Amino acid sequence: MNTAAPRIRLQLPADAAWAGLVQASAEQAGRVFGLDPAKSLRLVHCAEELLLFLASAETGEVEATLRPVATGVEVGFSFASAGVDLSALNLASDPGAGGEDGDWTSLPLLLASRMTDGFRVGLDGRRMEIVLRVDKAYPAPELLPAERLRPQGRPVLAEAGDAGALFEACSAIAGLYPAHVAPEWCLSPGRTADLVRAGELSAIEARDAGGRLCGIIFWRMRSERSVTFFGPYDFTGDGSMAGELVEALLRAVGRTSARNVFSSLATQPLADHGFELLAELPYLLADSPEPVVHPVWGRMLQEDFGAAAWTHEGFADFLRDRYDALELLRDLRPVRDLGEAVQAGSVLGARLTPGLSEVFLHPELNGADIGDNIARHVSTLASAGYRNIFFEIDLAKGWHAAMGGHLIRCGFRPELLLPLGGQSDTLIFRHAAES
Amino acid sequence: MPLNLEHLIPEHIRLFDPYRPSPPDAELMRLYGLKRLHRLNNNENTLGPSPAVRELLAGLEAGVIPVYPHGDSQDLRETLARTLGPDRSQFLVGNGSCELISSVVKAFCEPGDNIVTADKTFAVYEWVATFSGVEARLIPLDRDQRFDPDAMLAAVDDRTKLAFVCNPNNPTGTYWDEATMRRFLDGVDGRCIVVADEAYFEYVERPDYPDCIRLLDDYPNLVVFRTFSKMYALAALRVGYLCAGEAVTDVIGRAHVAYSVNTPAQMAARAALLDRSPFIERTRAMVRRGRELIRETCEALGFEHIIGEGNYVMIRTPISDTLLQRKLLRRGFLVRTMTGFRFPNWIRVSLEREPVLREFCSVFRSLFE
Ligand SMILES: Cc1ncc(COP(=O)(O)O)c(C=O)c1O
Repeated sequence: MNTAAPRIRLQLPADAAWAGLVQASAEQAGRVFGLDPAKSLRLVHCAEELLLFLASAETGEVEATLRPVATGVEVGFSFASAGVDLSALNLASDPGAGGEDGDWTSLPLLLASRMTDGFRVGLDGRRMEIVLRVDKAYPAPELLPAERLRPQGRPVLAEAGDAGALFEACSAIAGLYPAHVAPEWCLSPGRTADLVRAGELSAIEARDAGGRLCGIIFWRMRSERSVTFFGPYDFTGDGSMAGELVEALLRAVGRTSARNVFSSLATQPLADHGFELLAELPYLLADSPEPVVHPVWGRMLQEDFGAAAWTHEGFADFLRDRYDALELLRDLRPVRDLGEAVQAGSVLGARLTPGLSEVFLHPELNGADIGDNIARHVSTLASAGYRNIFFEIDLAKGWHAAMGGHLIRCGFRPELLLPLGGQSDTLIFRHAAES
Repeated sequence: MPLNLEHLIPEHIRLFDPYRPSPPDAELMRLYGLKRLHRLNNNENTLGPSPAVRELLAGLEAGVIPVYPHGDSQDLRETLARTLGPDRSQFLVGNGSCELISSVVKAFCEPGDNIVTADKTFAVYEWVATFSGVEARLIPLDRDQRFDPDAMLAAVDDRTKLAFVCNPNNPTGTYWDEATMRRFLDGVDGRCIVVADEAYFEYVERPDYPDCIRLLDDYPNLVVFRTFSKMYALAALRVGYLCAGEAVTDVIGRAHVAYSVNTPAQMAARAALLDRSPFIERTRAMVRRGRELIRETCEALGFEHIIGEGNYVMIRTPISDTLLQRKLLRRGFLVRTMTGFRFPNWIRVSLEREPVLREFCSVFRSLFE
């Protein structure tokens, strides 16, 4: 039996004449892969928008891929980047001469992104890739009542994967924890179960002798090098499960490719469990003007023998501080202007999660306009309503670090250092709306 | 023409995360501004090598280098046979016992097969299986941090080809006594090959610790691994061996690369076996003293510790093992973090010469007092 996930591929010229083919494929893929008619229609619109956009950007031959993913359907377009002016593919591209007051939010890519549940654009080797995801419409069942309990006997930890158990866990989290530490997928337990089944999310639960759920912790790979976790959610009255859940997480990821682990949503201080406080990250929720502050607890999973990192004066002090606090030894190399020629148009990659009003930007291609490009992205995304804008660089790359000045000028502040999160350390900036 | 590797690599290789060795001492010392660096991370025996080996290496003729080594380490196997008892045809010598782990997996496993071992043990069994596309069934250690014989037996099925028992276990230093080993072998009842990895055999002084080479006559599916890297202090030369029934050794030999062990390594290993100096006794005394020093330090600090057999101990501290590794490296000591062995917040420390360990203990204390 062939168990490989189905994948529909079309090879076609980026030409509006083929819009009908792309629409028809998306429509059928949506239906076969389990989207309801309304969601299928979205997929059709997104695919069409993307093709028309690529046609206008004259990308030549493209490959369109439709495939089922854990929670819905993904449609992606990719093409060889050689010979194409990639700067047109920025989420917020320069509207060109006479367009200074251009209404950037109406740009096709961003427009398409707003119909989706997830969107990313970036370079994969020598191919440019634009991928968007439309999720199934999940029911939002009434959650089970939850109360803190006293475990009978010594709880047993095990992987959680069963939809019923995850429903129970989502209910308990919603009932016992404030909303800002409950992961968004918790509100639709079916989605949680799909993510776990597909291996995009992992969970370890604790159950007592009576089979009652005493706690759970979730995590996912953020990249090949980083694991991020949610919890520990401890449903006991005396907080006796948290430590064991965190240990179980570390045992599970300790022998993987991940070099560090950090919290996306931490429920309690974890200093007593061998974690270090990496940041206190303000985060704007959809319905409130004031940010909540998420402490980020993390630790490395592997040994560190020192490394080199490029720095820029815009964040050198921050780095020195963090490296001292974490006892990391780094050869700091200040970037210098070498006067080398760069191409005109830069390209930024982006990952958007509309449901969280969250964007992660990262540099893909350097260019003379990189400062303007960052500014353009920020204003476009902000006017599109995105409230949490992050920018991520890899300190193994001098040209990433060299963007420090532009980032600071555009209102970004360094917030989170993830040791060896990429080729070298990853530095994450947050856009401070007030500046 | 861009190389599209993705299409060429099998899934199990693509997903495999390679082992990253630490940089050379000189580089670490430069980067960290250190005058000296003590490696307490690889369970080496820095007391060695033994006097006979030193003498041999000092007198080594350059003339042996242009000539291929014995492809099957014949002289060394002859010496092993004379020293340990079994026939020379029962021994197979490898480029470190790591190479033998790979050979035994290649000899017996195909995709769809599995191996059974523990979750918290030497990682190479699991790694070799995983990057060979073979499932590694990892059985949790029991409550006393020992390999769990019953749970391992329960995991054996008709696709199980190998069971790896690390005896004594790295990193916990726990071991199966002879009765437990026999009970396990009886339970397996010839359904799969059982590897007893005795890398630290020469360190164990317990009367109930089994010498598995003596069990070979009773259990034709048993394979015993030993190494010259640990007690004999020849880690840089890369030489280890296995001993099994002749038929089993023959099968593993088919999957094994001939000529993988170089001449100086073969010669040094022979010299080490034949050395009658008190080197091994002195090493054992050093390790005993090391255990005491670490025990005292842990007790003074109130830290949990596991002190078993082998030339290493484990310590649990209130900070992450990775942060502690960085702090210690800045102060000139390399230790092994145990998160990768699924013991988060524990470190493993190799038992070194007393002055070095004294210094280690004092630096270690200063971090927590
Ligand atoms: C249990 C165990 N087996 C095998 C080895 C590998 O030894 P060799 O140097 O012979 O490859 C080691 C080394 O650390 C070990 O601890």
